[in-house]
Amino acid sequence: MPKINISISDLRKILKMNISNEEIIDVLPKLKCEIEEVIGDRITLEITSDRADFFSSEGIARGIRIYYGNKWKLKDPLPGSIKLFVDSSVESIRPYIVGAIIRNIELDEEAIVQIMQLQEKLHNTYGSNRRKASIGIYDLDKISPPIYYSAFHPNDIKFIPLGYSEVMNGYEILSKTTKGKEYGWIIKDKNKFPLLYDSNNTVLSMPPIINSENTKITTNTRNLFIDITGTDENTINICLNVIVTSILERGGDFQYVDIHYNNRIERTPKLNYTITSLKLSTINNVLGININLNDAIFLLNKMGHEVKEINNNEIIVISPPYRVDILHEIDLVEDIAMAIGLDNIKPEIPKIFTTGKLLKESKVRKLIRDIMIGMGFQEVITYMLSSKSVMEEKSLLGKREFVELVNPVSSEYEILRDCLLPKLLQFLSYNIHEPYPQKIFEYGDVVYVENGIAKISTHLAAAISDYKVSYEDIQAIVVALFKALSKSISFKPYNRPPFIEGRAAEIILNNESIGVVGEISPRVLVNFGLEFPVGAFECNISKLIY
Amino acid sequence: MALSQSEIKLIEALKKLGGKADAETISNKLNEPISSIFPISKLLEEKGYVITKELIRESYELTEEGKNCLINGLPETRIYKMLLSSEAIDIDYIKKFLSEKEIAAAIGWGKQTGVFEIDKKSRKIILKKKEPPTLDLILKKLYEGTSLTPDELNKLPELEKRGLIKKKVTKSLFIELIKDYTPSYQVVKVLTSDIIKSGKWKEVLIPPYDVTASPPVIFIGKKHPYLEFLEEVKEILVSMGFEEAKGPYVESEFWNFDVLFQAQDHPARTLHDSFQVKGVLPVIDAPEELILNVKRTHENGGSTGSRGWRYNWSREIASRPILRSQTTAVSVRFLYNRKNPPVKMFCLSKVFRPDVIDSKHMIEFCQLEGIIGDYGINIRHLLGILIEFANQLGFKEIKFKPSYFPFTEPSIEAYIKHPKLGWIECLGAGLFRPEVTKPLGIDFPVIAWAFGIDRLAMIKLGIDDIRELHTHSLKKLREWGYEIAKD
Repeated sequence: MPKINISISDLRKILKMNISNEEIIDVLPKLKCEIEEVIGDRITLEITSDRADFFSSEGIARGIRIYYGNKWKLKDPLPGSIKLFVDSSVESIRPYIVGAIIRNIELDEEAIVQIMQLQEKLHNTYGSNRRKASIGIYDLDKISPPIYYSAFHPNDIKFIPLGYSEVMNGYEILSKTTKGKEYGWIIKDKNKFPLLYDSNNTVLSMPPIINSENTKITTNTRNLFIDITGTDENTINICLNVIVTSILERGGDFQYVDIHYNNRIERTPKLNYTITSLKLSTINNVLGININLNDAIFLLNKMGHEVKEINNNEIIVISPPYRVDILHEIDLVEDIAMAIGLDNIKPEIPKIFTTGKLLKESKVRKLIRDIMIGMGFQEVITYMLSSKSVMEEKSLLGKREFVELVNPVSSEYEILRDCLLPKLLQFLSYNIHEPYPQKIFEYGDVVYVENGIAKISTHLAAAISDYKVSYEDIQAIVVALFKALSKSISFKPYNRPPFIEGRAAEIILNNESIGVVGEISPRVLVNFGLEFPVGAFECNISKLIY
Repeated sequence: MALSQSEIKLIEALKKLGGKADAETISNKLNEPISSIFPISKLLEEKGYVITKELIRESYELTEEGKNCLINGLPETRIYKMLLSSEAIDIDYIKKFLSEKEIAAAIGWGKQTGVFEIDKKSRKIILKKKEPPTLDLILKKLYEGTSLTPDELNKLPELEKRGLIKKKVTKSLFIELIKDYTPSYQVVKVLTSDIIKSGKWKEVLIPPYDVTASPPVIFIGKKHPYLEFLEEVKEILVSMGFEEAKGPYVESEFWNFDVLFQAQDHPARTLHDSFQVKGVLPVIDAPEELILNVKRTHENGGSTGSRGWRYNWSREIASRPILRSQTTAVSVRFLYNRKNPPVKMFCLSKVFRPDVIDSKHMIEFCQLEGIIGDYGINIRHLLGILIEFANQLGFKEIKFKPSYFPFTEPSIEAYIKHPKLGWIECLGAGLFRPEVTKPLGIDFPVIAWAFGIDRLAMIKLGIDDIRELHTHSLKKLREWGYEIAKD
């Protein structure tokens, strides 16, 4: 969940209403803004990632104002528009762009901090780390419209990136600037990089990486040009709605930008309202309450929604353009729940009769664990994630197919285990200084690949390690286990790792091999750094259950 | 007749002491209290091995006054020593050092032995002959317990009369061995079945052990404490009427994300937040109808009444195999297969998420998932069941806050209060969105929650590193003790 930092004095400046600091602190959690920390004038808030309108102090101020009964109204646009031409060269790179103009605004330092914060949080959430949407904000007075959006070979791109003092080309920007290193992955494989520039060939930015130093905003800036480029047109429109409505909370007016694609013209920002039909019964059924239409309307207004009309018991709700999270009537129900307050919703135990039960395998699991405990074995557990070094090499079990991670975080955890024995040997290797005899077992799931399909089995493995361990010592355990399970088994010689040749057998149940038992070969012991002999067995319990 | 261990010990001791000794000497030899020697020797006498004789011994010991005289000297000795330097001493001068009684005793002695006498006229004591007093030496010898000469013995009644010594009578037992025990008794270290069956046990000697010494350590078979905790949690859920469910660890993104209405470009679906796997074929393990329902729901809401995420849904992304990152995948599979309410299900199983491994984060961990679905189920029931479950786990206080999850609305997160650690965020919950339930063919509301059960296990087991739940220290597992609940 995004964390944002705001200033109370800045918030009050935008609020322009008579409200105490205590009231502000009190109302924030009711708006789903969780207070993390208050230090002097600054508050850190945790915002849920769906509420983009709360990613900066402007939107929060608006939320508070509405909660206290004030209405929100979209300002009328200034007449006229500016043009932005999109070249077809961006189609395969970063095809979409939207833009907006804000005029006659005064920005102090905190205002710039908040706008940057909003931009960053939008990038991280809706923008999928700038891949899907990236935002640029510029001083309009340093630009000569119309504006052009086109793609160029990186060598042909030359401008001073924001925060630097030298001219760089496209490649240099990716390799030398901090933002280039952070976001370069989005475009580095393209043969051309997207570029935004004006009629004087002044570069505004190289989206989604960095703006130019020459067009940056300062506290002297009075007019803004905003652009959002991206791969999803809906997303960049949503982000623009949030940015424009937020900045307008500080003053100023907006003006349209006409986006000229090859075959169409789009006028942005869209600032479209969302219309949702909400049934009174949905509210009452979901929340387990009983409110009437008037109550519902009052609560909706409190959260900034307006009512267009009422048909029977259905409310047609209009949500403002910055509420980009309303997908379904259920989202309005949540707003109503918040307006009521979770603390005012009375918990109730559901009166449904059902019979609880464990899975059959959970019962078998209990049973077999009890038998192993009865034979004096200590239960251990190991991770399902494992390393090839343990599963293939040290155990001498050799190469085979595993469920393998594409993106492991460590070579210790790169595959899913397909058996337990190597994990037990690894466990023993961590405990060579502990008193012997060591008798351990693990009961757990393994995953193996069969014809490209991952399959789960439940296995039991156990090991005895002592100064001397014979085949008989461990075989006796296997016999006792299956006797306790009322299963009659037989043994068939087995001459494969990790066992000593002639000292291991397959465990046969109903003519089918369900496991192996034997003395671990000294080579394997040495691979694991073990100096005491080990007798061990492993069997597939799933074959007993099904 | 068989002899006991202690009887044999006493006989052995007597043999070493030359066949006879008094009880006190034997007591010292055996390092046993004298009180225990008496009954044993009486038993041995009955059995005919020894004869005992009660001895009454007279001896003298110093009185308090006698002890004083031993330190300061007898009065006559002190006066005698003064006379050695000036042959006549004024009696009044002597009174400064000795009491009237002492002076009287000294003068009596002087007169009797003729060593000094008092001149009544001049009130002086005058030395008559140089012959030092001898009684001091007798006191010393009595005190030290050395033997006295016959002459000295004769003087004892005089000392007693003067109140310097007193008579003491001590009783003792004198024991004399008259018959050795039969040495044919066999000493066996271990009692065996043969010895019992043959009746030989009547004749053998089983030597004693030091029964207070520490025995060898044994390690018992024990269940893993973390799994025991998970079992306890399962038991609670079963008692609350929940049915256990399971699902695959290797899951398609379809079941793990798409069915849960998480858009295909949702950050949780990147390599950063979920483990993609190779070696497994990409397939969507679901009927075509469901796949299409989900596709439409993402693209435009389909028949769910939602606007959807408005993008082109990709079958390829949905079929990517990953390691299950949330047990909610199990819940939706369960719902799809069990369309008839009421549904009360739980799943306590592993999930996998990439992370930096440290004391708080592990890439493989357990999640507890629960759902209740039925007509008439609502958010109040969700709050109610969560409070009840927390209570069952031993947490009396729980609080709720609004939250956001892509597949629930309204969404809630809950905190439980730990007496020492304070409020702990432990679970996410909510009502499944219609975008989740409708495509599955579920037309009743479903409340769901997911518990970070490992965090709770750590609290219950008193450990502060999540990796310790899978400890590879055998020592720790062996030392982990059970606790008997107090309530």
